[in-house]
Parts: sequence; structure tokens; C-alpha cells
Amino acid sequence: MTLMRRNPWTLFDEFNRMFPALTDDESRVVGSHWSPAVDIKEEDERFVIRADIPGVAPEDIEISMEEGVLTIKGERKHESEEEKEGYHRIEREHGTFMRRFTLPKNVDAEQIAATSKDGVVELTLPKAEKTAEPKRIEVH
Amino acid sequence: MATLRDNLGRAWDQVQAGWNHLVQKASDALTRFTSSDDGADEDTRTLLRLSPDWGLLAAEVRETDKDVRVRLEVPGMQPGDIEVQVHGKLLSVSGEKQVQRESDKGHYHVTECAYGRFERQIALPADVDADATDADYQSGVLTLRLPKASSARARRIPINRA
Repeated sequence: MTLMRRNPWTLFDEFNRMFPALTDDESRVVGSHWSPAVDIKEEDERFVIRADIPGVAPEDIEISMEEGVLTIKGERKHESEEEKEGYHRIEREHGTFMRRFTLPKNVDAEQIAATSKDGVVELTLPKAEKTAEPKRIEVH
Repeated sequence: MATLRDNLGRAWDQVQAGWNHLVQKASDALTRFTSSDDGADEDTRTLLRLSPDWGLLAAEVRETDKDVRVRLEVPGMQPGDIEVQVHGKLLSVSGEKQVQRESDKGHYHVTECAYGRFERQIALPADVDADATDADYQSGVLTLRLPKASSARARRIPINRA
């Protein structure tokens, strides 16, 4: 017997499509299978984003930055391809995940660093040096 | 008007069905986290106050001929902070997810991750030999291999020719 899996979230996706205004969290992108929980903290010198991404190898996580939008995406693969039968309980989500964040202008995109430990990915986003003071133009 | 009513009715049915699925899927995985902030510094206390009291510890239970294999997603743990117990056919995994202390003071914009003490109980499909359990913790996933008790193992019974 093959195990059929129903994804309850598809119903919510349908609902979201019917009433887009009710669900405006665009950081969870429809189309990916799941999205990780995150903590976002702002410190004096930097932002720190921590994301719970258990069971995904660091090489399967892709972090990119484009036009002020930070994207964390990747895929949780099945641990073993042969394991198809014998399941009594499946709560874990497999497949692609994605989350996007619009970053404040003062983040230095070149200096973003990420580390992964025990299923928690931590990104540090240093703030750029203060931009030059707006130039004041005297009116004579 | 009738179309609108139909659409709303259908939307409601979908919400209901979706909710039922969600409850079915998540009610077991939804695990309560309780935090005691004794002695913690101010920054940790802030996070503990803001963080949700519930977290999803998603599990997978698979039975083979010889053993029961359980995978549980518990990110950000020290292996020593996880306790595994077996009472008959009930597996209990408890522990404490601690706030990692490496950062400076600041303020939180988003807090979705749960911290603190938790306990999750999972029904096992067969009697197991708890003493021979093999546990492994990697990238935030706890993997347990619980060999079946000899009484629970499937035995092939040869059929003799008459």
C-alpha cells in the first residue's frame, strides 16, 4: 500500500486566493510547502534573524539578497528514499520552504553572514555606516 | 446573489474542512512550552516573554519488522538537554530549549520560535525494548530506533505440507 498524503494547507491557500486581503503576510510565500518560524531582533549595530529549520542540511539552504529583499529558501528532503511504508504518523513537512523579508535600507548586503547549528540558522545583518548627512543648501 | 451565497457557502465548507485537517494534523504536534526566567538576563527575559507558549514539534513514527523509528523535530537543543522515556507503549520526549546567549541588547520585531521546557508524548505502535533504544540528534532532528520487544516481532510461520 502506498501512503497517500493530504496537504491540509492547500485548503488555506485556496481560501487565501479567495480573500487575499485577509492574509497579507507576504513573507510566507504561497507555492512553497512550508515556512520556518523566525525571530528577528534589532541591535544597535546589526539585525539578527534566527530561523528554526530542523532536518535540512546547510547545503540545501539558499540565502540571497536582491533589491532589498532577503530570501531564505531550500528543501527538506526525505532522509531515505526507500522508506515508503510502515508509517503510523507523519506530521513533518517535506519539500520546499521559503520566506522573504524586506530589509531596511541601512543593511549592508555585502556583510550578511549565516551560520547553522542544530537546525537553527542564524543570520547577522550588519547595519551600514551611517550615510552622509543630507547636504544642506543655503539659499542666498 | 445566489452565486455569492454559493461561493460563501463553499468557502465556509473549505474553511471547516481545512480547520478539521489542521486540528487533526497539528493538535498532537502542538506542544506547550513553559519558561522559567529565574536568573536570566534582561534580553533573555524579554524574548521569553514575547515568544509563543506553543511550538510545533513535528514527529514521524514508522514501524518496521524489527523496530519502531521515531523522528522528532526539536531544533536548537543541546543533546544533553533532551530526555527520552518509555512507559509501556508511550514514548515521552522532554527537554528545555534555551535561548542562545551570544548577542547584545536589542529589541525584537518578530518572535515566532518557542523557548522553554516542553514534553511531548507519542503513542508507539508496538511494545519495545526500551533499554536497547538508540538515539541520535542531528540538525535539530531527534532520531530514535526502538527495537521491538520479542513478543511484538512479526514471526514468519512456516506452513508444512500435509
